[in-house]
Amino acid sequence: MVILSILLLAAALPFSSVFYFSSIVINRVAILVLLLSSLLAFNTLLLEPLGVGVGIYGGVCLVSVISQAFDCFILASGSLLLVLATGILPMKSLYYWSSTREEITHDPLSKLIPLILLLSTLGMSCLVTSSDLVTVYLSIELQSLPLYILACLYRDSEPATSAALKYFLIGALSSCLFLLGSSLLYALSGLTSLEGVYLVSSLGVGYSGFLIPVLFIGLAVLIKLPAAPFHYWAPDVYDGVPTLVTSWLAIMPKIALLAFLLLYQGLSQIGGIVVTEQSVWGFILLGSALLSLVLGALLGVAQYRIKRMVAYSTISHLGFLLLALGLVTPQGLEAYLFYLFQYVVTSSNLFFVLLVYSNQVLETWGDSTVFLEQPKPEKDPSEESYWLEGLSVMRTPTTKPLLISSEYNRISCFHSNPVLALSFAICLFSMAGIPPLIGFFGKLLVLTTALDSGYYFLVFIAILVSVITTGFYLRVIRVLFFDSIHFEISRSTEMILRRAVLSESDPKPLHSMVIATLSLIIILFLAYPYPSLNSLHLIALSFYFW
Amino acid sequence: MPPQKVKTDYEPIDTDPHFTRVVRYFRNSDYLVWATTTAFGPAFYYLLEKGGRVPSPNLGFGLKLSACVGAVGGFLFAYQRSSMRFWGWTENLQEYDRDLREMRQRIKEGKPLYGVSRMSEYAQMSSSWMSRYAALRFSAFPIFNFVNHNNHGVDTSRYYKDLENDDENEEKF
Amino acid sequence: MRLFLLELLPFLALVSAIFVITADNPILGVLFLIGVFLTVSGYLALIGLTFLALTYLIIYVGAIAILFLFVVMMMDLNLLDLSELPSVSFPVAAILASSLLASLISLLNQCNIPFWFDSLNLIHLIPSLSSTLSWSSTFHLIEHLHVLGLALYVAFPLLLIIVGLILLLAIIGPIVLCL
Repeated sequence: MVILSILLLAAALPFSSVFYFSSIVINRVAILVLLLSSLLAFNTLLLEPLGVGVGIYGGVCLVSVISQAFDCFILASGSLLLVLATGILPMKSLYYWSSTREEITHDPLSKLIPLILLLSTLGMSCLVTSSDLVTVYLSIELQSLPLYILACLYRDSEPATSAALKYFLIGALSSCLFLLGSSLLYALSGLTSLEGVYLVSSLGVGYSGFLIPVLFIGLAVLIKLPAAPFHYWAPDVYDGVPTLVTSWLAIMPKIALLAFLLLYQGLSQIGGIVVTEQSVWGFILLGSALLSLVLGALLGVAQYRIKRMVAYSTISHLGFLLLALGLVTPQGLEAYLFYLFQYVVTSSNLFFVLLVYSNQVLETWGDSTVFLEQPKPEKDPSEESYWLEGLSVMRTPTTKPLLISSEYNRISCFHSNPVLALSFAICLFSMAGIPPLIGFFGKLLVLTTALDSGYYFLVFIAILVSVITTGFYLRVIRVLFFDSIHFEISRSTEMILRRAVLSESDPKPLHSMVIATLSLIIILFLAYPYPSLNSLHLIALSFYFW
Repeated sequence: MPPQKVKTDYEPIDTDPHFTRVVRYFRNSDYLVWATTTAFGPAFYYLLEKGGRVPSPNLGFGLKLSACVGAVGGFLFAYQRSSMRFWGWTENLQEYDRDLREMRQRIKEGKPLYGVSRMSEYAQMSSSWMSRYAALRFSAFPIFNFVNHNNHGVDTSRYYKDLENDDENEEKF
Repeated sequence: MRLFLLELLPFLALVSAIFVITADNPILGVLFLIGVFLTVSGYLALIGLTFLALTYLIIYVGAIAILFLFVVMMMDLNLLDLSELPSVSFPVAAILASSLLASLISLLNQCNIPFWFDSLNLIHLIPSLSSTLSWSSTFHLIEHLHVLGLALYVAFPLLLIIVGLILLLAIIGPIVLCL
């Protein structure tokens, strides 16, 4: 379905001059496509024969209950996150010079963005069902390359392009490491099929040569996730790229790569030390979990930019996820799946709210005297004074709108939009793990299953880390609720954000609906948890008992 | 290499049915699903339209495009449901009886069970590798079976029971 | 004829390689580099690695050498004078080259090459396996390219589809980047 829609949209796009449609059409059709694909995957979800897993396409793909579940979830989250792009005007730079709304929505760049995101989602969908080394590599590339391209949307801004370049280079490095590991694995076993390698390696007695390639492959995936201690690219990248792309980066590849890590567990458990029979990969996973937890919390406290803080909190959540992944029990798997589900819900909510705030950057509220108006059309656009009509808020090249936490206190006051601030607060509380929100249950599940498996030290560290992360979430809430508005007004001849005249003062109704729905899911999970919990329980059981 | 034996709830008819067969065996509920999904496309687009404050300029084009997408998705949905009946993964009594009748008719007329193909044996087998159970991944790739091949992964001896002219059991595994 | 070419092409490759490093003009050096690639590509085709030979032509000559040419043409490089080459680097170069040569010779010494050496059979270059009979080419010789074609189009078509999608992305991507 996704590939057919990509071809359909790619065929429809050249006719944009004939039919003269805007980018919103492509965006909505892409949302519809991902929703339908998710339904197609859901249709095959809970069927008896899928318990063992069916090999298709000549053995390169393996379809099982868990792969279909992940497929459905990835496509549904993709469809949800594409709503973020509705009406968002992706600009070549932060400083956009078109004068009419028509021109902006017919920008060919904004028409291509949903297409690129569809390609990335297709790569993720292939990754969760892949069962061959080449398929995994190609799916990882198909998933990451569109994101490298999208990260470079703001071409005129130096921090943005440096972040995008950093993302591309680190991603390419991790793909190279993956190739190194898979070529070594092929050299050792003569097979590329993951199940074949598992069989071959389990036949040999005491041969631990498979250790190094297995570790390389796992390492490559950990770098992409990003997990500590390989996370150093994440805060810079998440901070520099446009917020739409950050939301996609923070949520979608993680689901796909974590699904691959889950399916990779069978292979990686073989990389054991001969004498002690302990899995080296499990050790590395838990070590990475510990470091992610600690580094995400400690470094996040020191941030004053919101997107960097979000990046570090992402790394901290990833610590919980890797901890749950390191528990090879059915309860551990259920905790893992549930934490992933609530992480996607809360992160989507967070990014929706962030994007809504960033759309409101130049509007003012209440009784402030700053307002923006469209310049009079009879003036010549090339004249400097044309752009001086109306007032604008000064933006220096080093500060980007609404990416600085201290700037939130100018407009994101509780008084200006109380419900939005409240949903932001709910989302942050859920990420901190405050009961009775959904985040608490995620952490509860992970920590109880970890305690059952005997990882006392890690649980202790995780609880301490939760307290620390609550600290920096609360700081954002303090700024949101208790700091007052103060504005600086200045005129500038260099840069005037034309977007200002086109953004609305309230969030779009569709965005508000999504934020409201997600916030309600976060709050009301406690009231009726059975659908999600039962289905996740079934999926986790199907992984172990077939 | 024989195809994988999967434990199914119902009796499998054909693990890799031909495209025309699947479409011929659509039930009325499958057509209903196709029509519903085709209607869902423009309805969803209209809902999203209502979710915006400013009316977007090209509503008609958007509705048509989403109707196309809905039609494609609906067809894939219906094909997936019919395929699962052929594989024996969902309830398929109607299709089983119809298939039995049609195959016995074909045997009586002396036609080969699964049609004649100009491809070699190996090429038929390799095409069946690609298209077997491919309907499971319709969310990503639409891959259908357009080849008349003989490796359908079922015991075809049931067509030959109680027939006047009994050929050798073509147990094609 | 084939044996003659099998002797001539490596010799031409070596000669071209020497001219690459001793050429006065950098463009002449790049042209001789193209010559190296062409002769090595011919040699690979003659020993049966047809796919690798075509890959050399497309990627090395078609992309990398063209890149070198563009860089050399756009940059203002000073012409090197052979007599001004510093003699300080000669011992280091000699040590590196002799160590590489030593490792190559030691590797070749480990191969048991029987007198009925079939030049098409690369299995003789693997030290431990060279004593086995070359059974794979006894019955039916399938060209390298043919095998790759069978693998890509018959055995694993999905991988080709995914690679095609990546190529589609490679076409759309620069439009997004440069618009």
